[in-house]
Amino acid sequence: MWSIIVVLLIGMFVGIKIPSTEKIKKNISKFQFLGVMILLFAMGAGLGLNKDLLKNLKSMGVEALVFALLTSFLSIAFVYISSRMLLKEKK
Amino acid sequence: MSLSIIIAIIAGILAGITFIPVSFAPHMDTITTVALNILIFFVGIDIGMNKHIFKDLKNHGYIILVVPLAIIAGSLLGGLMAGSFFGYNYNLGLSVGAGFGWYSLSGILLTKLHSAELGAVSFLTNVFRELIAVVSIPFLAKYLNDYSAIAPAGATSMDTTLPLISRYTKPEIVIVSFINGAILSALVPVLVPFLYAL
Repeated sequence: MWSIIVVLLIGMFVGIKIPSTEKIKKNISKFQFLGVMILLFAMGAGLGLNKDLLKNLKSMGVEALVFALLTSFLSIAFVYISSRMLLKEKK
Repeated sequence: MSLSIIIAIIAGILAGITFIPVSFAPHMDTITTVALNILIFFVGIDIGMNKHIFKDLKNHGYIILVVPLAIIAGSLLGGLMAGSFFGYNYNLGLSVGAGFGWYSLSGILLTKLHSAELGAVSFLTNVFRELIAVVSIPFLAKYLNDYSAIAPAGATSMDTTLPLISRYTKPEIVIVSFINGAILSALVPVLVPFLYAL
């Protein structure tokens, strides 16, 4: 967690220093896309390599999927409703 | 882009299952960490380039704290409902819900507190939750609002899913997302044992 904060702060410092031209922004965006693809591929590969996970998937996959769907769906619903209410209050 | 997200993660999973040797697993972890840190560095540059960000952040006011509270409420209620559906005691459902997407930690905690089975359910639940977040972030940002894109990510909104949230929302939302992730990550090791003991 601390390494992420340090890296984020270094990035922010660099961002303040370099000029924010459209060309630089575009190149950063391209680089980020590539990085996200590598990250997601590596995350997926890490899951695919986890043989315990694949074994458990057969016996507990459905239960875990229902847990994941309900917690995600209700989190989205609560955040959406509360943010809409707060934004309306301000207007 | 959203299609490439799904393709990248499925290609990774298939490559992991089929041809990447198991001995390579620790290196995969290194690649993930390095890629993540480079991405977070660029997220930082994005924030630094937007000089108005902290003024914009003020406009979000209480929402910054309401987002993690709403995610906690949604996750615990969801865990409670799913748990009772499968005949779990209420404390077990709640403690699985309190993983907030941080699969490695919540899986280990519940393995130690209860059993390998519940630990595995929690681990898988939160792996699925991270996958749901990765796939749904672009759609939530587009069709609901920027805050909603943070919701499925839970505790991961400060690391693995932050680059995606950064790409699909505004720079000041990245700060909201980071604060949310930090709060939820700090709560996982506290809430999981607490709810389990209820």
